[in-house]
Amino acid sequence: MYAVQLIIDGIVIGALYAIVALGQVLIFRTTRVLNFAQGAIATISTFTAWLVMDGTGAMYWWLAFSLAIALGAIMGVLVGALLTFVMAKASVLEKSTACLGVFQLLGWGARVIFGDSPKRKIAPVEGNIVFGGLMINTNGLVIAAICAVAIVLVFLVISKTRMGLGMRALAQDEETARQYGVPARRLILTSWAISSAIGSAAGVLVGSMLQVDHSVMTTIMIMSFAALVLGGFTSSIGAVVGGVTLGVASSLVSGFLAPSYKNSIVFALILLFLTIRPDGLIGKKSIVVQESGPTPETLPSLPSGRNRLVLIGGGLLALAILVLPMFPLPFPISSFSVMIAMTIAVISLSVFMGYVGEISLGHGALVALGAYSAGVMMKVWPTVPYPVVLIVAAAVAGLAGAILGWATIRLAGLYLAVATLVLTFVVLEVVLQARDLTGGATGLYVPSPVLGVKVTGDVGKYYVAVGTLVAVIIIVQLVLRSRIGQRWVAVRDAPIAAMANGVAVRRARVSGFIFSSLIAGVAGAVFSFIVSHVGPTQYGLFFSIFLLLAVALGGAGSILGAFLGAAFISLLPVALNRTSGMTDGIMGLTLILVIAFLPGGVAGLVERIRTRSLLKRRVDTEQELSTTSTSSGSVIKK
Amino acid sequence: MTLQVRDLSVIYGGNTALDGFNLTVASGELVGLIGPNGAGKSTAVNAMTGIIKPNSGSVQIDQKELVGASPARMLRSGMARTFQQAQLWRGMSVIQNLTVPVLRLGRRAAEQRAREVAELFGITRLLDVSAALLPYGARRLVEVSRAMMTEPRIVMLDEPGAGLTPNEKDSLRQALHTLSESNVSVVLIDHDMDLVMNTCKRVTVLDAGRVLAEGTPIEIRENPEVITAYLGVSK
Repeated sequence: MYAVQLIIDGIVIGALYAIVALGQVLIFRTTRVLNFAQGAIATISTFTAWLVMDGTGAMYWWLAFSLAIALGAIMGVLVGALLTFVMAKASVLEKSTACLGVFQLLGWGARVIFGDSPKRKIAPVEGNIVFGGLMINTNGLVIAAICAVAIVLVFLVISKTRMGLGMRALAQDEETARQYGVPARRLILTSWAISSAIGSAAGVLVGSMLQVDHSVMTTIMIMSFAALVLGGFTSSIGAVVGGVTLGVASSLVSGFLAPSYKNSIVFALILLFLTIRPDGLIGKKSIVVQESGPTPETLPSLPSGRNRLVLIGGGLLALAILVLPMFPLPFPISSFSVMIAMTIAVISLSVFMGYVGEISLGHGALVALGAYSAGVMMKVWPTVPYPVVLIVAAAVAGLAGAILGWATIRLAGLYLAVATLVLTFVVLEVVLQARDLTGGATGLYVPSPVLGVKVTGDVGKYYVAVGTLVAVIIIVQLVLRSRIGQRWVAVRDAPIAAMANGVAVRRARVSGFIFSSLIAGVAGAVFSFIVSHVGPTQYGLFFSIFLLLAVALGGAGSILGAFLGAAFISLLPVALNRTSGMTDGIMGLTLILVIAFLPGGVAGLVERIRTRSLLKRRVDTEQELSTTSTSSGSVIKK
Repeated sequence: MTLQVRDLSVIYGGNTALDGFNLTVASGELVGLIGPNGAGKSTAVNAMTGIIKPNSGSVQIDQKELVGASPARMLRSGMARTFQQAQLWRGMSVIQNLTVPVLRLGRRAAEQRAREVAELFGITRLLDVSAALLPYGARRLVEVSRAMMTEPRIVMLDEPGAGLTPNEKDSLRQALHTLSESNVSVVLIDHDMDLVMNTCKRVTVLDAGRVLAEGTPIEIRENPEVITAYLGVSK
């Protein structure tokens, strides 16, 4: 009977995961974008519903609920319009990243408008029904019923209406669909409206169970993304089955196994499942490696030979970094040490996004793994030599990267991207639970690094960080100029051609993610001794979004760009005197603006200016070739 | 070296894209594979080179069964290919593009080989140019060169003539003969009848996933079924 009770509870919560995941599928099928802003949209809608209900009774619940849905739809259309019209030229990965910027901006807005404090829950009905030894919450019944109605409605729209037909056509091929008169943009905006309305409904429903606060959607969003990984990003049925399965699974795990490690166990089960059945719950067996479309022109070329511009810029920068502590500075030197550590973290993500062409949305989780392994290592063995700390931190993060990468890097890169996002919350859970090792919520004091002697001063630590950064840059350059880098770019630019030319596509991608994870681990180690502390919230979702912003701003793959981006995200908060809310808003807005108006970041801008001279060379090449092609026959004949 | 393909079939979600495909290519032979759009030519190449796994049939190189093997293994067994739309890696220079198939040899040996092949196809002066900056004809030449990097004994060229100027087509034709003289077998896939008829000694015609006819260019030209498939009218 206990198990039945758990399953019923699981179905109610799973139904919420399911409708949010379904909303994501609607947008993904028409645009290939994942709407990371959905959580923030739903939070604002939910707070609005609370405002309506505050002071009135439960009889106004349906009014508040409808208003929240309408508001969600409007916000969804606005975000959709931003992506469709303002960012028309951005790639789908960039658009998904922009949604994270919207998420951050709206989250900041919600705090400004509604205040930080949580509000009481807004339930339409109270009480329980007892039925043959089972206790069913009436509110839970309402939730399940509403979710069921939402699911049926969406399925009817997709399968029975002309609009649904158009959406399915769009999902197949936007270009063809447009040519046959499918109103693509209208349908895309409609899917944004429906999706955000569903998300807002889910928000109000969660608010009816617990309370209304700024993290009302966090768990739901993460679990719905996990449901998508399980069920496939394009399958409506997969989203629903995946969502309900996860709800029931986590309810059972928490009831029978270990409630405190619930998310971690469920996540491990998902990874295991994906390893056994790589096409997911519903997915059909895939035939070919999917062509991901033409490479965005903003992605960098492999370094070859010497680029004078980069050498001069790099030399000047290196000099500035070396002499920095000798000058009067606006901020304490430790802020600059943080900037150096941040540069390493940005490089780890930037190399992956630039040269492997994939995206990792929860890179902070890997940094956290590095920071905690370094912290724990230095705590239990205070005289451990610094290089050993680096190696251990890199190895732990690298191992996580290897497992995650192997299980999830498949057709499109989004599986990995979303899996890293989920990893963020798994790491948080583990850190909070394993108190003996990690210090739980208060975190861990990290002693000074040992390089022959203990390096205690801030300036000394700064130079240790700089030395580590230099080593990282050298290693990155060596790898990019090696066969490994060539395989990454081959797979990035034309995966099928890479396959036909003997490159193991999956192995190349996974190796790219492992390399990135190793460096992220090193960054974590550097952070840990600079801040002298590792805590559970330092490297959460916002940290990951900051990294994405830094990469977008500096330009994926560019080392100099990584410095610029890291300086922006680490020094701006210091300059703004840590009025953290403000910082979040500015960061979110900057991310949106950069993606909309500065494709390829600063490095992309420099590259475009340089290409003007190269285009001249292209004309020369063309002339040269018209002479060679007439002579090549004779060359071959000889 | 001979390539022998028997009864190769590929089914995409219920649609038979390739139905009992047969092809024999002897050492140094130049064989054409033609057919209208959608006849299954590219599917046949993809199935033979391991890009897609065929549902049934056999692909043998020198009596060694290779059906269903990975593209990498096909490459090691001596079979290379090009693509309908030249697929260069735009983030690399031409020489970096050329070395990828032979990375196992080590950087120095791979670059040495790249220079030799580049000389053969007259693209030596392009070696350090970024692939993203190449004009169309040059991309084709680089792709054919890349296919030759592993010293294959059989190359499949998927519409190499598409979009080339008459001049460029001429040099392509000569290059094909040179390959064939050095005992490299070539399978030329195209729907350009003229190019195939003027270059190949034997031609296989595909239509709707099936082999419609096989024979010398003259036999093919006079085959009524082929004429129907191409012109849509019967005599």
